[in-house]
Amino acid sequence: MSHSDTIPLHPSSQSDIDEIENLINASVHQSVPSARPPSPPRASIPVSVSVSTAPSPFISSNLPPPPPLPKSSVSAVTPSPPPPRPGIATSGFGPAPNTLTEPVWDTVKRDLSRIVSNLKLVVFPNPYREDPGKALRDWDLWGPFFFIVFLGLTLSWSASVKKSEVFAVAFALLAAGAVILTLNVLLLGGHIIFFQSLSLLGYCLFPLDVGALICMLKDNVIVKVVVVCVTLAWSSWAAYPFMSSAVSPRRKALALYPVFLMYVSVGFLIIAID
Amino acid sequence: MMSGKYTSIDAQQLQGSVPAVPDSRPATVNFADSNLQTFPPSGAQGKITAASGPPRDADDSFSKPVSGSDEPQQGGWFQTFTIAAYKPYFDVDTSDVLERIIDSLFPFRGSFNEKTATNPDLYGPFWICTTLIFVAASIGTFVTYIAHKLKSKEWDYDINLVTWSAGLFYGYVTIVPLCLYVILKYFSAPAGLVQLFCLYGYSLFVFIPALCMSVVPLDIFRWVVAGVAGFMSATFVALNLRAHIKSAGERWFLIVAGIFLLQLALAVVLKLYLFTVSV
Repeated sequence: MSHSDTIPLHPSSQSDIDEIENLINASVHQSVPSARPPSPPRASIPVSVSVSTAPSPFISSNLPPPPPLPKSSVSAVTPSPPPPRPGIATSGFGPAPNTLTEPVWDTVKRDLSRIVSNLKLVVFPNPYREDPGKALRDWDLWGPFFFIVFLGLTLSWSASVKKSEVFAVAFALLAAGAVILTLNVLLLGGHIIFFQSLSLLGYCLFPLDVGALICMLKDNVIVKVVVVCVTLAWSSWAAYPFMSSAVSPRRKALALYPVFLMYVSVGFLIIAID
Repeated sequence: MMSGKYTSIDAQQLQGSVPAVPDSRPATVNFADSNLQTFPPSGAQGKITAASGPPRDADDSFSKPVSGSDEPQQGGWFQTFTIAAYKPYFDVDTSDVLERIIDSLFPFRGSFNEKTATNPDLYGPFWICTTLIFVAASIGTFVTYIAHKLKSKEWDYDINLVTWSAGLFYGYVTIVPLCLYVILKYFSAPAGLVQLFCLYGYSLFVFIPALCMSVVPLDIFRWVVAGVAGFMSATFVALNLRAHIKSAGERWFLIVAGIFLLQLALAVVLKLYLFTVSV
Protein backbone atom coordinates (compact mmCIF):
# COMPACT_ATOMS: atom_id res chain seq x y z
CA MET A 1 0.00 0.00 0.00
CA SER A 2 2.66 2.48 0.97
CA HIS A 3 4.74 1.50 -2.08
CA SER A 4 1.80 1.81 -4.43
CA ASP A 5 0.90 5.13 -2.91
CA THR A 6 4.38 6.57 -3.21
CA ILE A 7 5.16 5.31 -6.71
CA PRO A 8 2.32 7.07 -8.61
CA LEU A 9 2.81 10.21 -6.55
CA HIS A 10 6.24 10.82 -8.03
CA PRO A 11 5.14 10.83 -11.70
CA SER A 12 2.05 12.86 -10.89
CA SER A 13 4.13 15.37 -8.99
CA GLN A 14 6.63 15.40 -11.85
CA SER A 15 3.83 16.01 -14.34
CA ASP A 16 2.49 18.77 -12.12
CA ILE A 17 5.94 20.33 -11.92
CA ASP A 18 6.21 20.10 -15.72
CA GLU A 19 2.83 21.73 -16.13
CA ILE A 20 3.77 24.53 -13.73
CA GLU A 21 7.02 25.07 -15.60
CA ASN A 22 5.16 25.12 -18.90
CA LEU A 23 2.72 27.67 -17.54
CA ILE A 24 5.55 29.83 -16.22
CA ASN A 25 7.40 29.60 -19.53
CA ALA A 26 4.22 30.26 -21.48
CA SER A 27 3.40 33.33 -19.42
CA VAL A 28 6.95 34.65 -19.60
CA HIS A 29 7.76 33.62 -23.21
CA GLN A 30 4.70 33.90 -25.38
CA SER A 31 6.62 32.73 -28.44
CA VAL A 32 8.16 29.69 -26.73
CA PRO A 33 5.13 27.30 -26.93
CA SER A 34 4.74 28.01 -30.64
CA ALA A 35 8.42 27.26 -31.18
CA ARG A 36 8.47 23.99 -29.24
CA PRO A 37 6.29 21.65 -31.34
CA PRO A 38 7.79 22.52 -34.75
CA SER A 39 11.40 22.69 -33.57
CA PRO A 40 12.33 18.97 -33.95
CA PRO A 41 11.14 18.61 -37.58
CA ARG A 42 12.96 21.83 -38.41
CA ALA A 43 16.19 20.50 -36.91
CA SER A 44 17.24 19.17 -40.32
CA ILE A 45 15.80 21.98 -42.43
CA PRO A 46 17.29 25.02 -40.59
CA VAL A 47 20.81 24.10 -41.67
CA SER A 48 20.09 24.96 -45.30
CA VAL A 49 17.61 27.66 -44.35
CA SER A 50 20.12 29.42 -42.12
CA VAL A 51 22.74 29.18 -44.86
CA SER A 52 20.35 30.49 -47.49
CA THR A 53 18.89 33.22 -45.29
CA ALA A 54 22.07 34.50 -43.64
CA PRO A 55 21.09 38.20 -43.55
CA SER A 56 17.55 37.64 -42.21
CA PRO A 57 18.56 36.44 -38.69
CA PHE A 58 20.75 39.52 -38.35
CA ILE A 59 17.79 41.72 -39.11
CA SER A 60 15.51 39.77 -36.78
CA SER A 61 18.16 39.68 -34.04
CA ASN A 62 18.02 43.44 -33.68
CA LEU A 63 14.45 43.34 -32.35
CA PRO A 64 14.62 40.38 -29.87
CA PRO A 65 17.73 41.42 -27.81
CA PRO A 66 15.89 43.65 -25.29
CA PRO A 67 13.11 41.11 -24.44
CA PRO A 68 15.36 38.03 -23.90
CA LEU A 69 17.40 39.74 -21.21
CA PRO A 70 14.59 39.80 -18.62
CA LYS A 71 13.45 36.36 -19.85
CA SER A 72 16.87 34.89 -19.17
CA SER A 73 16.91 36.47 -15.73
CA VAL A 74 13.50 34.99 -14.98
CA SER A 75 14.69 31.59 -16.20
CA ALA A 76 17.76 31.97 -14.00
CA VAL A 77 15.46 32.56 -11.04
CA THR A 78 13.87 29.11 -11.64
CA PRO A 79 16.81 26.69 -11.19
CA SER A 80 15.06 23.28 -11.25
CA PRO A 81 15.63 21.66 -14.71
CA PRO A 82 18.97 22.58 -16.31
CA PRO A 83 18.76 20.22 -19.39
CA PRO A 84 15.45 21.49 -20.89
CA ARG A 85 16.57 25.11 -20.55
CA PRO A 86 19.37 25.01 -23.17
CA GLY A 87 17.14 22.93 -25.47
CA ILE A 88 14.33 25.44 -25.28
CA ALA A 89 16.75 28.33 -25.53
CA THR A 90 18.53 26.93 -28.57
CA SER A 91 15.28 26.07 -30.32
CA GLY A 92 13.82 29.45 -29.45
CA PHE A 93 16.81 31.45 -30.61
CA GLY A 94 17.38 29.22 -33.64
CA PRO A 95 15.99 29.69 -37.15
CA ALA A 96 12.67 27.97 -36.25
CA PRO A 97 10.52 31.12 -36.53
CA ASN A 98 12.22 31.95 -39.84
CA THR A 99 11.26 28.59 -41.32
CA LEU A 100 7.75 28.80 -39.92
CA THR A 101 7.21 32.29 -41.23
CA GLU A 102 8.93 31.87 -44.57
CA PRO A 103 6.99 33.01 -47.65
CA VAL A 104 5.02 30.44 -49.63
CA TRP A 105 7.20 31.20 -52.63
CA ASP A 106 10.27 29.97 -50.74
CA THR A 107 8.52 26.68 -49.95
CA VAL A 108 7.41 26.25 -53.55
CA LYS A 109 10.88 27.12 -54.77
CA ARG A 110 12.41 24.50 -52.50
CA ASP A 111 10.00 21.85 -53.78
CA LEU A 112 10.66 22.82 -57.39
CA SER A 113 14.42 22.63 -56.88
CA ARG A 114 14.00 19.15 -55.43
CA ILE A 115 11.92 18.08 -58.43
CA VAL A 116 14.58 19.43 -60.79
CA SER A 117 17.39 17.65 -58.95
CA ASN A 118 15.45 14.37 -58.94
CA LEU A 119 14.74 14.78 -62.64
CA LYS A 120 18.43 15.25 -63.37
CA LEU A 121 19.28 12.15 -61.37
CA VAL A 122 16.75 9.98 -63.20
CA VAL A 123 16.77 11.15 -66.80
CA PHE A 124 20.36 12.32 -67.29
CA PRO A 125 23.56 10.29 -66.86
CA ASN A 126 25.04 10.24 -63.37
CA PRO A 127 27.19 7.80 -61.38
CA TYR A 128 24.29 6.75 -59.14
CA ARG A 129 22.08 5.35 -61.90
CA GLU A 130 22.65 1.75 -60.86
CA ASP A 131 21.77 2.38 -57.21
CA PRO A 132 18.13 3.40 -56.73
CA GLY A 133 18.74 4.19 -53.08
CA LYS A 134 21.22 6.92 -53.97
CA ALA A 135 19.74 8.03 -57.27
CA LEU A 136 16.33 8.85 -55.84
CA ARG A 137 16.84 9.06 -52.10
CA ASP A 138 14.77 12.19 -51.69
CA TRP A 139 11.89 11.03 -53.88
CA ASP A 140 8.57 12.83 -54.19
CA LEU A 141 5.27 12.37 -56.00
CA TRP A 142 4.82 15.95 -57.20
CA GLY A 143 7.08 15.44 -60.20
CA PRO A 144 5.35 12.27 -61.46
CA PHE A 145 1.93 13.81 -60.92
CA PHE A 146 2.92 16.90 -62.89
CA PHE A 147 4.37 14.86 -65.77
CA ILE A 148 1.33 12.60 -65.99
CA VAL A 149 -1.13 15.49 -66.00
CA PHE A 150 1.04 17.42 -68.45
CA LEU A 151 1.15 14.49 -70.87
CA GLY A 152 -2.60 13.95 -70.55
CA LEU A 153 -3.30 17.62 -71.21
CA THR A 154 -0.91 17.73 -74.16
CA LEU A 155 -2.54 14.73 -75.80
CA SER A 156 -5.96 16.15 -75.04
CA TRP A 157 -5.08 19.47 -76.67
CA SER A 158 -3.63 17.67 -79.68
CA ALA A 159 -6.82 15.68 -80.24
CA SER A 160 -9.33 17.19 -82.62
CA VAL A 161 -12.20 15.00 -81.40
CA LYS A 162 -13.08 13.33 -78.09
CA LYS A 163 -10.72 15.47 -76.03
CA SER A 164 -12.05 14.36 -72.66
CA GLU A 165 -11.88 10.68 -73.59
CA VAL A 166 -8.30 11.08 -74.79
CA PHE A 167 -7.32 12.68 -71.49
CA ALA A 168 -9.11 9.94 -69.53
CA VAL A 169 -7.40 7.11 -71.41
CA ALA A 170 -3.97 8.76 -71.25
CA PHE A 171 -4.25 9.56 -67.54
CA ALA A 172 -5.59 6.08 -66.72
CA LEU A 173 -2.87 4.42 -68.79
CA LEU A 174 -0.10 6.35 -67.07
CA ALA A 175 -1.39 6.35 -63.50
CA ALA A 176 -2.63 2.76 -63.42
CA GLY A 177 0.34 1.67 -65.51
CA ALA A 178 2.85 2.89 -62.95
CA VAL A 179 0.99 1.14 -60.13
CA ILE A 180 0.70 -2.10 -62.11
CA LEU A 181 4.37 -2.05 -63.08
CA THR A 182 5.36 -1.59 -59.45
CA LEU A 183 3.08 -4.41 -58.32
CA ASN A 184 4.50 -6.56 -61.10
CA VAL A 185 8.02 -6.13 -59.74
CA LEU A 186 6.87 -6.82 -56.19
CA LEU A 187 5.02 -9.97 -57.28
CA LEU A 188 8.10 -11.21 -59.12
CA GLY A 189 9.95 -11.10 -55.80
CA GLY A 190 11.69 -7.81 -56.42
CA HIS A 191 12.90 -5.53 -53.64
CA ILE A 192 11.81 -1.97 -54.26
CA ILE A 193 10.04 0.69 -52.27
CA PHE A 194 6.53 1.12 -53.60
CA PHE A 195 6.33 4.89 -53.81
CA GLN A 196 9.93 5.28 -54.88
CA SER A 197 9.16 3.09 -57.88
CA LEU A 198 6.08 5.16 -58.70
CA SER A 199 8.20 8.28 -58.45
CA LEU A 200 10.92 6.96 -60.71
CA LEU A 201 8.52 5.72 -63.39
CA GLY A 202 6.85 9.11 -63.35
CA TYR A 203 10.13 10.95 -63.80
CA CYS A 204 10.97 8.67 -66.74
CA LEU A 205 7.99 10.18 -68.55
CA PHE A 206 9.81 13.49 -68.93
CA PRO A 207 11.34 12.65 -72.34
CA LEU A 208 7.94 11.54 -73.63
CA ASP A 209 6.45 14.78 -72.34
CA VAL A 210 8.98 16.70 -74.40
CA GLY A 211 8.22 14.51 -77.39
CA ALA A 212 4.48 15.08 -77.00
CA LEU A 213 5.02 18.83 -76.85
CA ILE A 214 7.11 18.79 -80.03
CA CYS A 215 4.56 16.61 -81.82
CA MET A 216 1.78 18.98 -80.81
CA LEU A 217 3.64 21.88 -82.41
CA LYS A 218 4.78 20.00 -85.51
CA ASP A 219 2.24 18.19 -87.68
CA ASN A 220 4.67 16.34 -89.94
CA VAL A 221 4.33 12.55 -89.80
CA ILE A 222 8.00 11.75 -90.31
CA VAL A 223 9.10 14.30 -87.72
CA LYS A 224 6.59 12.85 -85.28
CA VAL A 225 7.81 9.29 -85.75
CA VAL A 226 11.45 10.28 -85.36
CA VAL A 227 10.83 12.40 -82.26
CA VAL A 228 8.74 9.72 -80.58
CA CYS A 229 11.33 7.02 -81.34
CA VAL A 230 14.09 9.13 -79.81
CA THR A 231 12.13 10.06 -76.68
CA LEU A 232 10.87 6.49 -76.31
CA ALA A 233 14.42 5.16 -76.37
CA TRP A 234 15.43 7.83 -73.86
CA SER A 235 12.63 6.95 -71.42
CA SER A 236 13.40 3.24 -71.71
CA TRP A 237 17.09 3.95 -71.13
CA ALA A 238 16.24 5.96 -68.01
CA ALA A 239 14.02 3.22 -66.53
CA TYR A 240 16.28 0.29 -67.43
CA PRO A 241 18.85 0.32 -64.58
CA PHE A 242 16.25 0.75 -61.86
CA MET A 243 14.00 -2.07 -63.03
CA SER A 244 16.81 -4.44 -63.94
CA SER A 245 18.46 -4.10 -60.54
CA ALA A 246 15.18 -4.63 -58.68
CA VAL A 247 14.67 -8.29 -59.63
CA SER A 248 16.91 -11.32 -59.98
CA PRO A 249 18.71 -11.72 -63.32
CA ARG A 250 16.58 -14.72 -64.23
CA ARG A 251 13.48 -12.52 -64.24
CA LYS A 252 14.93 -9.33 -65.66
CA ALA A 253 13.06 -9.62 -68.94
CA LEU A 254 9.78 -10.26 -67.12
CA ALA A 255 10.17 -6.98 -65.22
CA LEU A 256 11.46 -4.91 -68.14
CA TYR A 257 8.95 -5.97 -70.80
CA PRO A 258 5.91 -4.31 -69.15
CA VAL A 259 7.82 -1.05 -68.73
CA PHE A 260 8.77 -1.05 -72.38
CA LEU A 261 5.18 -1.91 -73.35
CA MET A 262 3.82 1.04 -71.38
CA TYR A 263 6.24 3.50 -72.96
CA VAL A 264 5.51 2.12 -76.43
CA SER A 265 1.80 2.58 -75.76
CA VAL A 266 2.38 6.17 -74.70
CA GLY A 267 4.54 6.75 -77.77
CA PHE A 268 1.85 5.34 -80.01
CA LEU A 269 -0.78 7.60 -78.45
CA ILE A 270 1.48 10.59 -79.06
CA ILE A 271 1.82 9.72 -82.75
CA ALA A 272 -1.77 8.66 -83.39
CA ILE A 273 -3.70 11.38 -81.58
CA ASP A 274 -3.97 14.22 -84.01
CA MET B 1 -24.44 -17.86 19.75
CA MET B 2 -21.70 -15.40 20.62
CA SER B 3 -18.98 -18.02 20.49
CA GLY B 4 -20.29 -19.22 17.10
CA LYS B 5 -20.16 -15.72 15.60
CA TYR B 6 -16.70 -15.20 16.98
CA THR B 7 -15.47 -18.36 15.33
CA SER B 8 -16.93 -17.44 11.91
CA ILE B 9 -15.40 -13.99 12.04
CA ASP B 10 -12.00 -15.46 12.74
CA ALA B 11 -12.35 -17.85 9.79
CA GLN B 12 -13.25 -15.02 7.44
CA GLN B 13 -10.32 -12.95 8.56
CA LEU B 14 -7.98 -15.86 8.06
CA GLN B 15 -9.39 -16.61 4.60
CA GLY B 16 -9.17 -12.99 3.56
CA SER B 17 -5.61 -12.47 4.71
CA VAL B 18 -4.11 -15.57 3.09
CA PRO B 19 -4.87 -14.73 -0.63
CA ALA B 20 -4.45 -11.00 -0.07
CA VAL B 21 -0.74 -11.22 0.66
CA PRO B 22 0.37 -12.94 -2.60
CA ASP B 23 -2.10 -10.85 -4.63
CA SER B 24 -0.91 -7.56 -3.24
CA ARG B 25 2.75 -8.38 -3.76
CA PRO B 26 2.61 -9.03 -7.55
CA ALA B 27 0.15 -6.16 -7.88
CA THR B 28 2.58 -3.82 -6.20
CA VAL B 29 5.45 -5.14 -8.27
CA ASN B 30 3.42 -4.74 -11.46
CA PHE B 31 2.46 -1.21 -10.56
CA ALA B 32 6.03 -0.34 -9.75
CA ASP B 33 7.29 -1.82 -13.01
CA SER B 34 4.57 -0.21 -15.08
CA ASN B 35 5.11 3.15 -13.45
CA LEU B 36 8.84 2.98 -13.86
CA GLN B 37 8.53 1.91 -17.47
CA THR B 38 5.80 4.28 -18.59
CA PHE B 39 6.54 7.59 -16.93
CA PRO B 40 10.16 8.18 -17.87
CA PRO B 41 9.66 6.94 -21.47
CA SER B 42 6.48 8.96 -21.87
CA GLY B 43 8.07 12.06 -20.40
CA ALA B 44 11.29 11.69 -22.30
CA GLN B 45 9.77 10.52 -25.59
CA GLY B 46 6.75 12.80 -25.46
CA LYS B 47 8.48 15.50 -27.42
CA ILE B 48 10.35 12.99 -29.57
CA THR B 49 7.13 11.14 -30.37
CA ALA B 50 5.29 14.31 -31.27
CA ALA B 51 8.21 15.42 -33.39
CA SER B 52 8.79 12.16 -35.24
CA GLY B 53 5.15 11.24 -35.78
CA PRO B 54 5.00 11.80 -39.54
CA PRO B 55 8.26 9.99 -40.32
CA ARG B 56 7.09 6.97 -38.35
CA ASP B 57 3.84 6.87 -40.29
CA ALA B 58 5.80 7.17 -43.49
CA ASP B 59 8.10 4.35 -42.43
CA ASP B 60 5.11 2.17 -41.64
CA SER B 61 3.56 2.77 -45.05
CA PHE B 62 6.88 1.95 -46.71
CA SER B 63 7.50 -1.25 -44.80
CA LYS B 64 4.07 -2.73 -45.42
CA PRO B 65 4.48 -3.46 -49.16
CA VAL B 66 8.04 -4.66 -48.74
CA SER B 67 7.39 -6.96 -45.80
CA GLY B 68 4.25 -8.52 -47.17
CA SER B 69 5.18 -11.86 -45.68
CA ASP B 70 4.33 -10.61 -42.19
CA GLU B 71 0.72 -9.84 -42.97
CA PRO B 72 -0.51 -13.31 -44.06
CA GLN B 73 0.25 -14.57 -40.58
CA GLN B 74 -2.39 -12.27 -39.13
CA GLY B 75 -5.55 -13.68 -40.69
CA GLY B 76 -6.93 -15.47 -43.69
CA TRP B 77 -9.46 -12.87 -44.75
CA PHE B 78 -7.00 -9.97 -44.95
CA GLN B 79 -4.53 -12.21 -46.75
CA THR B 80 -6.47 -11.66 -49.97
CA PHE B 81 -5.40 -8.02 -50.00
CA THR B 82 -1.68 -8.57 -49.51
CA ILE B 83 0.91 -8.85 -52.25
CA ALA B 84 2.54 -11.92 -50.74
CA ALA B 85 -0.64 -13.96 -51.25
CA TYR B 86 -0.23 -13.71 -55.03
CA LYS B 87 3.53 -14.21 -55.22
CA PRO B 88 3.24 -18.01 -55.76
CA TYR B 89 1.35 -17.27 -58.98
CA PHE B 90 4.19 -15.10 -60.26
CA ASP B 91 6.98 -17.49 -59.28
CA VAL B 92 8.27 -17.96 -62.83
CA ASP B 93 11.46 -17.07 -64.66
CA THR B 94 11.93 -15.65 -68.12
CA SER B 95 12.77 -19.08 -69.50
CA ASP B 96 9.58 -20.57 -68.02
CA VAL B 97 7.35 -17.97 -69.63
CA LEU B 98 9.08 -18.29 -72.98
CA GLU B 99 8.76 -22.07 -72.86
CA ARG B 100 5.04 -21.82 -72.17
CA ILE B 101 4.56 -19.32 -74.98
CA ILE B 102 6.30 -21.69 -77.38
CA ASP B 103 4.11 -24.56 -76.15
CA SER B 104 1.00 -22.50 -76.89
CA LEU B 105 2.06 -22.31 -80.55
CA PHE B 106 1.99 -26.13 -80.88
CA PRO B 107 -1.60 -27.01 -79.97
CA PHE B 108 -1.48 -30.70 -80.91
CA ARG B 109 0.90 -31.69 -78.12
CA GLY B 110 -1.76 -31.36 -75.43
CA SER B 111 0.84 -31.40 -72.66
CA PHE B 112 0.56 -27.78 -71.50
CA ASN B 113 -1.76 -28.67 -68.61
CA GLU B 114 0.59 -31.34 -67.33
CA LYS B 115 3.63 -29.06 -67.50
CA THR B 116 1.94 -26.20 -65.67
CA ALA B 117 0.07 -28.30 -63.11
CA THR B 118 2.74 -27.78 -60.46
CA ASN B 119 3.08 -24.01 -60.73
CA PRO B 120 0.51 -22.20 -62.87
CA ASP B 121 1.31 -18.51 -63.26
CA LEU B 122 -0.71 -15.35 -63.80
CA TYR B 123 2.15 -13.34 -65.29
CA GLY B 124 1.66 -14.74 -68.79
CA PRO B 125 -2.14 -14.39 -68.91
CA PHE B 126 -2.09 -10.83 -67.64
CA TRP B 127 0.67 -9.46 -69.85
CA ILE B 128 -0.46 -11.40 -72.93
CA CYS B 129 -3.87 -9.75 -72.56
CA THR B 130 -2.26 -6.37 -72.03
CA THR B 131 -0.12 -6.83 -75.12
CA LEU B 132 -3.19 -7.87 -77.09
CA ILE B 133 -5.01 -4.74 -76.00
CA PHE B 134 -2.12 -2.56 -77.12
CA VAL B 135 -1.69 -4.40 -80.42
CA ALA B 136 -5.41 -4.37 -81.14
CA ALA B 137 -5.67 -0.65 -80.43
CA SER B 138 -2.58 0.45 -82.28
CA ILE B 139 -1.09 -1.75 -84.99
CA GLY B 140 -3.97 -1.63 -87.45
CA THR B 141 -4.76 2.01 -86.90
CA PHE B 142 -1.09 2.92 -87.22
CA VAL B 143 -1.01 1.68 -90.80
CA THR B 144 -4.21 3.55 -91.56
CA TYR B 145 -2.72 6.65 -89.97
CA ILE B 146 0.41 6.52 -92.11
CA ALA B 147 -1.64 5.97 -95.27
CA HIS B 148 -4.02 8.83 -94.54
CA LYS B 149 -1.23 11.21 -93.62
CA LEU B 150 0.69 10.43 -96.79
CA LYS B 151 -2.45 11.22 -98.79
CA SER B 152 -3.14 14.32 -96.67
CA LYS B 153 -6.52 12.98 -95.67
CA GLU B 154 -8.43 13.80 -92.51
CA TRP B 155 -7.91 11.10 -89.89
CA ASP B 156 -9.12 10.79 -86.31
CA TYR B 157 -7.93 8.11 -83.94
CA ASP B 158 -10.73 6.18 -82.27
CA ILE B 159 -9.68 6.24 -78.63
CA ASN B 160 -12.53 3.89 -77.78
CA LEU B 161 -10.55 1.06 -79.37
CA VAL B 162 -8.46 0.95 -76.20
CA THR B 163 -11.37 0.61 -73.80
CA TRP B 164 -13.27 -1.77 -76.06
CA SER B 165 -10.37 -4.17 -76.58
CA ALA B 166 -9.49 -3.96 -72.88
CA GLY B 167 -13.01 -5.00 -71.96
CA LEU B 168 -12.98 -7.80 -74.52
CA PHE B 169 -9.69 -9.44 -73.63
CA TYR B 170 -9.69 -8.96 -69.86
CA GLY B 171 -13.34 -9.97 -69.78
CA TYR B 172 -12.84 -13.07 -71.90
CA VAL B 173 -9.83 -14.35 -69.95
CA THR B 174 -11.61 -13.69 -66.65
CA ILE B 175 -15.19 -14.79 -67.27
CA VAL B 176 -14.71 -17.88 -69.44
CA PRO B 177 -12.34 -19.69 -67.03
CA LEU B 178 -14.64 -18.81 -64.13
CA CYS B 179 -17.66 -20.32 -65.91
CA LEU B 180 -15.65 -23.37 -66.92
CA TYR B 181 -14.44 -23.72 -63.34
CA VAL B 182 -18.05 -23.77 -62.11
CA ILE B 183 -19.13 -26.23 -64.82
CA LEU B 184 -16.27 -28.61 -64.09
CA LYS B 185 -17.05 -28.47 -60.39
CA TYR B 186 -20.65 -29.34 -61.19
CA PHE B 187 -19.56 -32.38 -63.21
CA SER B 188 -17.25 -33.59 -60.44
CA ALA B 189 -14.07 -33.00 -62.44
CA PRO B 190 -12.64 -29.98 -60.65
CA ALA B 191 -9.68 -28.09 -62.09
CA GLY B 192 -7.59 -25.37 -60.49
CA LEU B 193 -8.94 -21.90 -61.17
CA VAL B 194 -5.48 -20.41 -61.58
CA GLN B 195 -4.59 -23.25 -63.93
CA LEU B 196 -7.59 -22.41 -66.11
CA PHE B 197 -6.60 -18.74 -66.14
CA CYS B 198 -3.12 -19.83 -67.15
CA LEU B 199 -4.39 -22.08 -69.94
CA TYR B 200 -6.75 -19.50 -71.45
CA GLY B 201 -4.21 -16.70 -71.08
CA TYR B 202 -1.52 -18.51 -73.01
CA SER B 203 -4.06 -19.70 -75.58
CA LEU B 204 -4.55 -16.08 -76.62
CA PHE B 205 -0.89 -15.57 -77.45
CA VAL B 206 -1.42 -16.82 -81.01
CA PHE B 207 -3.67 -13.83 -81.67
CA ILE B 208 -0.80 -11.37 -81.20
CA PRO B 209 0.96 -12.29 -84.47
CA ALA B 210 -2.47 -12.74 -86.07
CA LEU B 211 -3.36 -9.14 -85.26
CA CYS B 212 -0.01 -7.99 -86.59
CA MET B 213 -0.60 -9.83 -89.85
CA SER B 214 -4.07 -8.27 -90.13
CA VAL B 215 -2.50 -5.07 -91.42
CA VAL B 216 -2.54 -6.65 -94.88
CA PRO B 217 -5.62 -5.06 -96.50
CA LEU B 218 -6.81 -8.23 -98.28
CA ASP B 219 -10.06 -9.45 -96.72
CA ILE B 220 -9.50 -13.05 -97.83
CA PHE B 221 -6.08 -13.05 -96.21
CA ARG B 222 -7.58 -11.71 -93.02
CA TRP B 223 -10.19 -14.44 -92.87
CA VAL B 224 -7.48 -17.02 -93.40
CA VAL B 225 -5.33 -15.51 -90.64
CA ALA B 226 -8.27 -15.31 -88.24
CA GLY B 227 -9.31 -18.86 -89.08
CA VAL B 228 -5.86 -20.34 -88.58
CA ALA B 229 -5.29 -18.45 -85.33
CA GLY B 230 -8.73 -19.37 -84.04
CA PHE B 231 -8.25 -23.01 -84.93
CA MET B 232 -4.84 -23.16 -83.26
CA SER B 233 -6.14 -21.47 -80.14
CA ALA B 234 -9.29 -23.57 -79.91
CA THR B 235 -7.39 -26.80 -80.50
CA PHE B 236 -4.85 -25.85 -77.85
CA VAL B 237 -7.52 -25.32 -75.21
CA ALA B 238 -9.65 -28.28 -76.24
CA LEU B 239 -6.86 -30.86 -76.36
CA ASN B 240 -5.41 -29.74 -73.06
CA LEU B 241 -8.77 -29.92 -71.34
CA ARG B 242 -9.93 -33.13 -73.02
CA ALA B 243 -7.61 -35.38 -71.04
CA HIS B 244 -8.82 -33.72 -67.86
CA ILE B 245 -12.52 -33.69 -68.69
CA LYS B 246 -12.76 -37.29 -69.94
CA SER B 247 -13.34 -38.38 -66.37
CA ALA B 248 -16.50 -36.25 -66.28
CA GLY B 249 -18.58 -38.98 -67.93
CA GLU B 250 -20.31 -39.03 -71.28
CA ARG B 251 -20.81 -35.26 -71.43
CA TRP B 252 -17.13 -34.45 -71.80
CA PHE B 253 -17.50 -34.20 -75.55
CA LEU B 254 -20.17 -31.50 -75.24
CA ILE B 255 -17.95 -29.47 -72.93
CA VAL B 256 -14.92 -29.77 -75.18
CA ALA B 257 -16.99 -28.92 -78.24
CA GLY B 258 -18.41 -25.88 -76.46
CA ILE B 259 -14.92 -24.74 -75.52
CA PHE B 260 -13.73 -25.20 -79.09
CA LEU B 261 -16.63 -23.23 -80.58
CA LEU B 262 -16.29 -20.43 -78.03
CA GLN B 263 -12.65 -19.96 -78.97
CA LEU B 264 -13.60 -19.88 -82.66
CA ALA B 265 -16.27 -17.31 -81.81
CA LEU B 266 -13.60 -15.11 -80.29
CA ALA B 267 -11.60 -15.35 -83.49
CA VAL B 268 -14.66 -14.36 -85.54
CA VAL B 269 -15.35 -11.39 -83.28
CA LEU B 270 -11.75 -10.27 -83.65
CA LYS B 271 -12.01 -10.59 -87.41
CA LEU B 272 -15.23 -8.59 -87.63
CA TYR B 273 -14.32 -5.78 -85.23
CA LEU B 274 -10.54 -5.48 -85.17
CA PHE B 275 -9.34 -6.71 -88.56
CA THR B 276 -11.13 -3.78 -90.19
CA VAL B 277 -8.21 -1.68 -91.34
CA SER B 278 -8.97 0.00 -94.62
CA VAL B 279 -6.55 2.26 -96.42
